[in-house]
This record gives sequence, C-alpha cells and structure tokens, in this order.
Amino acid sequence: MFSYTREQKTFDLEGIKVGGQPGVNPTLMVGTIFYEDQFEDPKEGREKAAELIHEQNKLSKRTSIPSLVDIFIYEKKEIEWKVEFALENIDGIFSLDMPESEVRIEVLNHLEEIGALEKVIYNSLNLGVREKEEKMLKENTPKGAILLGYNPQKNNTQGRVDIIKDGGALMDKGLLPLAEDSGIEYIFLDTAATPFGEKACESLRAVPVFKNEFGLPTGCSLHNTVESWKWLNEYESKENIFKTLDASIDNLPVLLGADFIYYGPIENASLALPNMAMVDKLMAEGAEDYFGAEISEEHPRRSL
Amino acid sequence: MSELYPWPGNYESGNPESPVAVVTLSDDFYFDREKVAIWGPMKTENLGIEKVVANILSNPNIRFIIVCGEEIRGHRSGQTIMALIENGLEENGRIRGSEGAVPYIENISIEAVERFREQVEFVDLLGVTSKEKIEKAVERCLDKDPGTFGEPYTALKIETKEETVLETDFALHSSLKISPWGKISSMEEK
Repeated sequence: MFSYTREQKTFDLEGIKVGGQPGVNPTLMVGTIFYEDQFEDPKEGREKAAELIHEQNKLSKRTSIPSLVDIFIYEKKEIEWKVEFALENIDGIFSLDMPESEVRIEVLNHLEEIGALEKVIYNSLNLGVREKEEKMLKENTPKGAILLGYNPQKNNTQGRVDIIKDGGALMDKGLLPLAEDSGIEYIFLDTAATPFGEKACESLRAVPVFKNEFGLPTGCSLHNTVESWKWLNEYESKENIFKTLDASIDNLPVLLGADFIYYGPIENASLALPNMAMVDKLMAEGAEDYFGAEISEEHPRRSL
Repeated sequence: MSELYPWPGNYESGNPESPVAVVTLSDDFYFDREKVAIWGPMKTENLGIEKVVANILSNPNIRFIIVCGEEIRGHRSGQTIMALIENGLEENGRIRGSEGAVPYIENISIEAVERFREQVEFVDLLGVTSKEKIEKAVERCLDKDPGTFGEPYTALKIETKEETVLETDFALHSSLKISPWGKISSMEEK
C-alpha cells in the first residue's frame, strides 16, 4: 500500500529477517507464554508450554511467517527456571517480557552470568527505566530491545515519538539514544497499544510516523486494546471471540507497514499465523506489482 | 448536581452515602450495596489509578479507600495507589515511591490528586482475599465515618490535541506527506 522514502533498516535474527519496506519481509509474529493465569502452576505447565512453542514453530514453517517466543517474567524467583526453560526449548533468539525494572536488572545479571545476553530481546525498555537499569544495560547488554513509545503525559503520536526520540517532558534522554549508547544492536520500536478511549488509534497512526522518523523495525501489540475492551469482556458469545478479534486487529498496523506483531497468547498461533500469511501475501503482491519491491525468499508470497 | 462516578470503568456502585470505597485489584468480590459506595478491580498503575481517583472525587462522602485482593504482578497497582496517597507526585507526574512499571498520573491535575489524598484514608489490605476480613474492615470504616468532605469535585480529563494538516496531500499525520503514488515522506521534504 505504501513505501517509505527513508531507508528502512532490516535485522537478521539468526535467519529471520525483520524490517524494511512494507511487503518485502514477512511480518514477525511473537507469541507469549507464561502470561498471568495461563497455567495454574507455571512450573507444572512447562511441558504444555514446550508443546505450544513446538506448535508455533510448525506453523511458521507451514506458513512462511517467522515467529519468536515471548516469555513473561513477573518476579525475581522465576528468572532462573524460565531462562533455563527458554534455552532448552527455543532454538534461537527469544523475547523476555519483564514489566518491573528490578526484575529486568536481575535478568541482565543472570544472562551475563550464563552467557546468554546474545539470545535475548529485552522487552521492554520504557519510561519506567531507572538509573540503575540504565547503567546495567551498558554493562550487560542484550542483543536486542523493544523500545516502548508509551507516554502517559502526551499519548498522541507526537508524544510517543518524543519518548523514543528525546524523552519528551518525562525523561532526560530518549529511549533510542539510551539504547544506542548501551550498544543494543537490534532496536525495535513498539508504538504502545492503549485502551479504547485513551487514544487507541494513535498506536496505529504512530506506525508510519515511527518508520518515517526512525527507519527502524516498528510494531505493536494491539491485542492489548482488544483485551481491555470492557464491552467485549461482557459479550455473551465468548467462544473464540478474543482469538478472532486479536487476529483481526493485527492486520491494521501491517497495512501501514508494521514489521512485527506481539500477537498475544501463544495458543492463538493457529489463527494468528495463517491470518498474517494472508495479509503478507496481499501486501507483498502489492509491493512487487506497484513499487517493484523485491520480495524476500522466505515469504508466503512465494510459498503459499 | 455533578455526575457521580463520571469516568467509565469496571466497577459496581452501592449506597452513595457510604464513606467506603473498595479496590479489589486482581480479584472480584461482591459487597453489600448498603455499606459500600463503589468497588471494583484496578489493573494498571497509571490509567487505572486515574479512574479510581476521579470517580472517588466525584463523591465527597467517600472517606476511606480499602485496597485488597492479590496484587497485580508487574504493575504493582496496589502498592502504587498506597504510594500515591502517602507520598504524592514528583514534578514530572511520577508517583513517588511506586514500585510499579510505569507509575505516572498525567490525565488529571495535581490539584485533583492532592484533594484525593486529603479526602480519603488508605486502608491497607493488600494481598488479603478473605471476604470476611475485608467486610470487617468495611464495618470499622463505617463506625468511624468523619462525614462528608464537602462539595463533589469533578476531575476533568486533560486532553492533548493532535494537529493535522489537511490541505497538503493526505494527512495520516501532520508530520507525514503521502504522495498520490503512496510514497510516505516527511512533510518538510521536497
């Protein structure tokens, strides 16, 4: 649909190409495990979690839609076993989703100790970063990071750009210079999904603005907007509705050029990946026919 | 009369004369409507707290906020609202002393936050999921009701304006120019 005059960076995550002009590379789909309430006892759920990862891998091969695993770590006591689980069950890079700054600091320490910093995409570097964490990132630098454009003070598109670029009125320094100064190699920009009523559409509008402004792989996790929709939570016919609407909303940023999507629970892979294969196939056809783009080798445009 | 509980959210309301509000964090409870003015879960340490603050301010009869239930992991919303009441805000809107992920109050004024801190007394039942214990706390609050805080206060939502430029090409956003052929570039580029 669109093409950017600004050069768009592409990263190679151990064979997975992400970024570039819209339509050229298939969208990277990231599924989350060990999120709140997924398993009654997460440790007991490890076998099931391994099966879900295996299933996502199979779907990636079948659809030519690349995928990564995102692992939630809420508390310090979960760090060791969850990282160990990831290294045992994931072949390649994975994303660690850590809401709390203190947990992120401990994770960096642990990854350095076991020599696994190269395997990790740090999710996320955000407004909540403290001085101690900033220092730790310079000492123990993960291979990649998601930079979250959430700006509670000014949550329109410009506010989200500000947080990435210079920190706006809330930070002394933007997340991008902070990541670059730390030496993080793979920098991904997340436009920060917000609930309906909180400028939800700005996370969509920010996709082309981020790509034009920074030229870096950009994406978001709009399933969070779906899940925070009060009306839907009260909707009578619950079966599959979240799974379906999550997949549906993920199509919108890709139309504007998004390069990656955190699609939510990894259980949804069976719908999320074929759905994205369809969208990517359409986008690639348009990019090739209209802009003369050269579509990558591993792409549903070629394989499906 | 000003509107009661004007900010939409996931809550139940009871007797507006009651001095008690209950935040149940990640848990769902049901309370006696005669005894509790408003109750409901609270997920996030920013937008969620703003809704609670604004809705409680709309009812000056509420003088106690009981925070109970399991903490929201990652967000630490319970600890954060406690920190807000105890410590207030830093200059940039960060909640002083919060351990939450992104603990910022930005959509309501400092004046509203300060009034909230004065209006309510915090009752710490963080982590408590025993309905019986929570109900006992409600009873204790009812017994020591200091009376209304005065007139209702309407916390207006602070809105930011998005500038659009509609006369030049098609504006997805004011910083972008989209050529008729679908090429996106910066507005200032020739």
